[in-house]
Amino acid sequence: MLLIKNLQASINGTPVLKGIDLEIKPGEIHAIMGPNGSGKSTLSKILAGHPAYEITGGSITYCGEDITPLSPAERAQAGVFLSFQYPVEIPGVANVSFLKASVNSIRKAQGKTPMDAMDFLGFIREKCKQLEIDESFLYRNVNEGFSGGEKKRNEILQMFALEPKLAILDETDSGLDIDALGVIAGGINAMRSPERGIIMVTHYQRLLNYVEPDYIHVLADGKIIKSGDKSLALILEDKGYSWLEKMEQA
Amino acid sequence: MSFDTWLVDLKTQAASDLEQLGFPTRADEDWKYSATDVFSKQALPKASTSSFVLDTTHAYPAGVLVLPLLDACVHHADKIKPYLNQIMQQTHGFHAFNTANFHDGMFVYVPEGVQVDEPIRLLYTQTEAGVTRCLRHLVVAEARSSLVLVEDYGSEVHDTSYHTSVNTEIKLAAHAKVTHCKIQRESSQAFHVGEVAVEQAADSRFESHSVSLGGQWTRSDTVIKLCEPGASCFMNGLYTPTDNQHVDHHTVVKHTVPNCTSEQDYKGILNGRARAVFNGKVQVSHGAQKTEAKQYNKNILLSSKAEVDTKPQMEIFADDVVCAHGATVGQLDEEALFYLATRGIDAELAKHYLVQAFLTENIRNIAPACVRERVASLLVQHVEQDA
Repeated sequence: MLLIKNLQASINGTPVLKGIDLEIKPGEIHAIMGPNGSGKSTLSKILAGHPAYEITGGSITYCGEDITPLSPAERAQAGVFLSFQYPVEIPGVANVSFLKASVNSIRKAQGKTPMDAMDFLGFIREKCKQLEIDESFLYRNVNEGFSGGEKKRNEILQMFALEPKLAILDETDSGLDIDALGVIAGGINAMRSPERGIIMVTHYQRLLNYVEPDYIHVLADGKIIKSGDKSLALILEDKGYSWLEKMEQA
Repeated sequence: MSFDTWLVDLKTQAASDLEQLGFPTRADEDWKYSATDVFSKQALPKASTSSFVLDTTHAYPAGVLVLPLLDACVHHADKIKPYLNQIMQQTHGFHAFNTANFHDGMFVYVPEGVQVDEPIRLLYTQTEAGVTRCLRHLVVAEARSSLVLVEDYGSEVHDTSYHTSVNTEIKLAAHAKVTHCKIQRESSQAFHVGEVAVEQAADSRFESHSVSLGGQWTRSDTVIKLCEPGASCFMNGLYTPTDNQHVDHHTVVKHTVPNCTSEQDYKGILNGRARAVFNGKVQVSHGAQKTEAKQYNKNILLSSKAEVDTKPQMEIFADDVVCAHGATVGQLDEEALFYLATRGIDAELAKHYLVQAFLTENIRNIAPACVRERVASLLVQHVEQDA
C-alpha cells in the first residue's frame, strides 16, 4: 500500500529526512516513535504533501503510484488522511459544513455521488455516536475554542467520516487525559481493517497499550534506527531513546 | 424653503474657506497615499435626484425626530445650531466643500432617556451618473438615550462615475449609547469621501461599524473626541477592495480627560491591484490618566499586486495609561491552507473559509443582529462576486 524508499527531504535547504525506508501493507498498524526533533512529524507532513518540504531523494509509492507530484488535496482524494498534532481553528465556519464539504469533495473525486444535507446529517450523527461525541460538536465552529482533547476527537471524527485507505495519525495522543485517550484509541481500533493501513506517530508508549501496533520504528535524526515488533516499545519505555542512539553511534 | 440667515452664513463661510483651503493634495501628510485629483479636477454638477429611503416599519417613540436636515434647520434650529459644523473640525477642503454644498441628509434627535430600539436605516441609492451628491447628517442623542443608525450608500448606476461627499456629526450626551453603521457599496467607478465626527460626554458609549465594499476611490474617516470621563468607544472596520479599488480609512481618537477607553479593530482583505490605507491616531492628552486605548489593523493580501499602507499612531502625553497598538499585513495562513487541503477541500473554498474566519470576529462584534446579518450577507455576496 505504501512503499517509502530512501526518502530524503529538506526544508529551506536544511536536510530533515536522511534516507527513510518503510513498507506498510494493508491491514497493518505501524507506530513511529522517537525523540523530539527526530523527524516524526515531518515524515507525516511530507506523506500528506506539505508544500514547505522539498523531496531531495528517494521515492514514495502509494497503491503502486508515485504520489510525490500530487497536491495535498489530490492525496486526500486518493485516500490519504493526516490527523494533525495541532488542528487549525476556523472561526465562522460550522464544523458540519466543513465536514460535509470535505466528505463530498472526496466522494466526488472517487466517483461517488455527493451526499445532500439530510443524508449527510444522518451519516455524521452515526459517526458521532460511535465516538461518543455530542451532536452540538457539529454546530460549533471548526476547532474554535475546542479543548486539546476535543480537537483530537474532531480529527478522529474526520477520519471516521472520510474512511481513508491510509491514515497517518500525528501525535494523536498528546495532551489527552486517560478517558479521552480511551475514546480516541477505541476510534482507532474501530478503523482497523484488512484494507486500511495506519501509521501512528507518537512520542510515548502509552497509546500503544490501547492500540497494539504490528510494527514499531524508531526515528532519530531523520533516519529509522531500529524497527521491531510491539515488544520494542517496552524496552524503549524502560531504557529511553538514548539507549538506541548510543547503540547507533557505537 | 427659506433658510435662516445663520445657515446661509455657515454655508457662505464654508464656501469662502474652501477657496482658501483648496482640496488637499498628496503633499499633505494625511493625504499622502490618496490622490484627490479625481475629485478636485472634475467639478461635477450637483445631483438633482438621489433615491432615498428611510427604512422603517415602526413609529418612533414620542419626541424622537428623524427628518431631512434642511427642514430641521428651519423648524428645529435651536436643536441644530449648537452642533452643526461644531463637532466636525474643519481641517481640509472636503469638510468645507461638504458644508458649503450639502443639499440633503438627515437630522436624528433622541430626547433624554428615550431608547429607539429599531435601527434607523438611511438608504441612499445613486440613480444618476456624472453628478455629485453632497449629504450631511446630524445626530443628537440626549442623556441616557440610545439609538442605532445605519447609513447605507449604494448605486443603481453600476460602473458609472459619480461623487459622494457625506459628513455625519454625532453628539452623545452623558450615558447615551449610539451604534453607528456605515455601509459603503457605491458603484465600482464612484468616488466617495466622508467623515463621521463624534463628541462624547460622560459615560457615553459609541460603537462604529464601518464597512467599505464598493467605490473606485474611497476615503472614510472617523474622528472621535472623548470629552468627559467614563466615555468609551469601539471602532470596527471592514474593507475588501479588489481590482483597482482604493480605500483609505483615517481614524482619530482624542482622549482629552481621564478614565476613557477606546478600541479599534480594522481588518482588510485585498485582491487584484487594490490599495488600502489605514492611518489610526490615538491622542492621549496631558492629564488623561487611566486611559485605555487599543488599536489594531490587520490585512490579508490575496494578490501579489495588492498593496497596503498602514500606520497606527499613538501620541501619549499622560503617564498612567494602558495603550496597545499593532498592524499586520500578510497572506492566508499556509498551515491552515494545508489543513484544509488535506481534507480534500479545493483551493477556492479553502480561501473562502479562511477569509470568513479572518473577518468573523469583526462581524460578531456588530450588534444588533439584524445589522450584523445584513453586513454578513453583503460581505458574502461581495467576496463571492470577487471569486
